[in-house]
Amino acid sequence: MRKSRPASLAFFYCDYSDDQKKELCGLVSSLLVQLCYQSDSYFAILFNFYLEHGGGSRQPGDYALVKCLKEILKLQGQSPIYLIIDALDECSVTVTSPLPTRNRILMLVEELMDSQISDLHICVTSRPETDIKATLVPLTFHSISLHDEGGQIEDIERYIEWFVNDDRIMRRWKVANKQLVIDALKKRADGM
Amino acid sequence: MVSKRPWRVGYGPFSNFPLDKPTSIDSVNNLERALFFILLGEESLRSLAGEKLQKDIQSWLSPPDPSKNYNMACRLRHTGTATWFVQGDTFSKWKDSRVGLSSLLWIHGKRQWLFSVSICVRLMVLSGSGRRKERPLVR
Repeated sequence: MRKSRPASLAFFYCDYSDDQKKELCGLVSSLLVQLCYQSDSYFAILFNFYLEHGGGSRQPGDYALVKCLKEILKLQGQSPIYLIIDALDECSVTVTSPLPTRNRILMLVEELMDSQISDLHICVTSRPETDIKATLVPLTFHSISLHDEGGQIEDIERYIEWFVNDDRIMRRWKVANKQLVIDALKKRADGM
Repeated sequence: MVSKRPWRVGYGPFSNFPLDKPTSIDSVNNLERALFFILLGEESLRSLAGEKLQKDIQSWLSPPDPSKNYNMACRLRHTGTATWFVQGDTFSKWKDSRVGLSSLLWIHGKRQWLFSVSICVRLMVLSGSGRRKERPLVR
């Protein structure tokens, strides 16, 4: 058994159907609030940020939010921080000032990784879009393509077997017929 | 083997995660007073003042709530999927990379399968890490 270390975790789901979940300010403010719930030191930084904005009377800009997040992440002597950004491809690629949101989030990830912040672990999931690939691959400790993973293919096959055997209509079929369907679906699954 | 720790999966600021029921206080309603409590360092007052301030700051920033997406993904996930990933070397290397370094993991694939992996990443990071020793302002 490995000894556990204290850690903080914040996560975010980009979601094209929700305006706040496809913009940089939504991402950063969500991460900030989650982190400040987990440590007095992080809370103190966010509290100071709140005071700087007139005790909540002025809304912060994107730049100020990012600066505050960096301040928390760079805090000396802290425990590991894990940030999970899911479905980055769902962020807006239409041009907003000054750049599309997706570019700005990618630039933020790039900047954080270039800063070599101690014990910061970021996990990004997305479709393999060209712009995301171009930015993340050079920075990535490891990338995983689900399409090529044996475990993923087995997951799909197990799901197909479960579905065919569990479905209210199909489960009454003859075993041989069910097997035909299972074999055909597995053959054509191809990462789907 | 990842050791299990009693870290609540449902911690955090968003209502869709079950939290320990907090003590409420309505009387701390200005910054100076709350700040005074914090500086005073008296534990219970500090905790109550902190709770009110955290709520104020959260409503000021009004961040989107990721727990809705998380809970939806949990409902869609077929039991057992993506365990190969969290039991694999890549995940543990990313999660436990040497102190002093930062690490980025990019998982790409078709949308339908990404959510299982992202749920597992979150759960396994939580289950493999102890809670912070530092006492949080809100319990």
